[in-house]
Amino acid sequence: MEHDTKIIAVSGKGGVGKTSLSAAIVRLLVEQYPDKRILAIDADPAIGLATALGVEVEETLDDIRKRVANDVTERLRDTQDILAEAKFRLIDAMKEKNGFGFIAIGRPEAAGCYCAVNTYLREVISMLAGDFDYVVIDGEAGIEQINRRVMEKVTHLLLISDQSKKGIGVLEVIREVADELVMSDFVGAIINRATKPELAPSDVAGAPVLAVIEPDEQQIANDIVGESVFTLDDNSKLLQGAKIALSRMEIIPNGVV
Amino acid sequence: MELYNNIIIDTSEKIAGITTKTWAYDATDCWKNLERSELIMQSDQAFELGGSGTPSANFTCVTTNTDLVPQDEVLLCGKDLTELHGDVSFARIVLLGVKDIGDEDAAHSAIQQMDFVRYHVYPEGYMVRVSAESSQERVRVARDAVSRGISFKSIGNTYIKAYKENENVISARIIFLTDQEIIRELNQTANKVADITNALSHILDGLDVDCDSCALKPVCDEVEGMKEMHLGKKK
Repeated sequence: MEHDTKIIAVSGKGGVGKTSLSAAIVRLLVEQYPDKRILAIDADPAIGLATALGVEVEETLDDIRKRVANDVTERLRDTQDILAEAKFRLIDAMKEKNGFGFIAIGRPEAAGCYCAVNTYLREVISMLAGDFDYVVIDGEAGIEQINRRVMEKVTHLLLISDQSKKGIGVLEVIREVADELVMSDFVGAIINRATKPELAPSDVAGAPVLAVIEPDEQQIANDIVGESVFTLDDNSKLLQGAKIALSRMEIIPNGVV
Repeated sequence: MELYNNIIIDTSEKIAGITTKTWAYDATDCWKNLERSELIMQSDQAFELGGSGTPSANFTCVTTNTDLVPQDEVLLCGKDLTELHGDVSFARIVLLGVKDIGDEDAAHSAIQQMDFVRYHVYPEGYMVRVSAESSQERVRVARDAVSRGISFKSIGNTYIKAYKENENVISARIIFLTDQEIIRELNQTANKVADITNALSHILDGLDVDCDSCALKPVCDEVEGMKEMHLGKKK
């Protein structure tokens, strides 16, 4: 990729704060690197990252998939036409705000075979991502969904869990699948919403725990009223924890923390 | 190949009264062409041609009658890139005079290759997006490119250079239109061109379809030479 793009995928069980952390990472990258290009991809069907970043979504990748699939037999007969069409629609669907770009993947495809269209769209997302310096993907629990619908490979896989055994168990499954798919160069974990931080492990699912974040009252209040992460104080626990994790992954300089 | 001749004649007549500038092709005055497409963010763009819901159109017509495309040239109808201050309607039309390729399948393949050139020209600071489905072309023009004096003359030269790399192309006329009433109408023309190319593909696929139930029958009926080609293939 032209920019040596760093692609950070955030994954974990539902309800552990993946979306808030993804949004916090986007905000920290925008603040740390105002001259760099940053892309946020919401790969969770619920499209929560849009709210967390204060973006209004008009068209998702799922909408594009349906539209392109419908036209494949008519005007879009050749691979070159389909790729160009996917790019045309994707750039229209990409929102720009506060120094970052945003794309929502939308719901998984319904009945019917979309394999070919998925392949084209993934190709276009990869090409587009190559024009950015940092890409942050807020994924659903199944890492294979990211692999199939968004990006074959990421540079950094960030596993998120609360302190529950169930949450950490999910990370182990995600890690196994990610290893099978050879999906990432670096894997790290964050224990989020830790009510007993002193009991947090130093590694989970074979990955080092980069940060342990206690429940963040500011973020909880933000969630209730639907405010974006950009309204959080700099010293919020969420932002501080995300900063430590990014620093340990060497995405932002050590001195920043 | 004369299937597009009526469209070429009709388009040439339509733009004759609104053409503001004409430049002969100058291979030494091309805008820098990149190896791959670049992304121009909205925050870096001066304006978008065909942006903000304004109409846009793009089509390519080929003909073996080189009287219809007598020389390589760039035409502009409307304001040039350094004179624009916001998103405007936009069309880019390509008329190509080509050698007589003979065999219909080879001709069809050659037409496609010439049409695909639109996907492989990447002028610096001029991000082109093409939709074959809607016959549109939108272009984000970077502020930096405008400040460096980007013009349709140099962009047109870059396109002509790319078309002339195809050995079948004898002459190329690139027509740019900005902020013109006629652009909405040209989008319909672009749809017609796409229908002709689609009908040609159907015919050359050799499928023995019932003409009375074929959705492309109106194209065959309207375009001179199409029906004869079809009947020839059905024999």
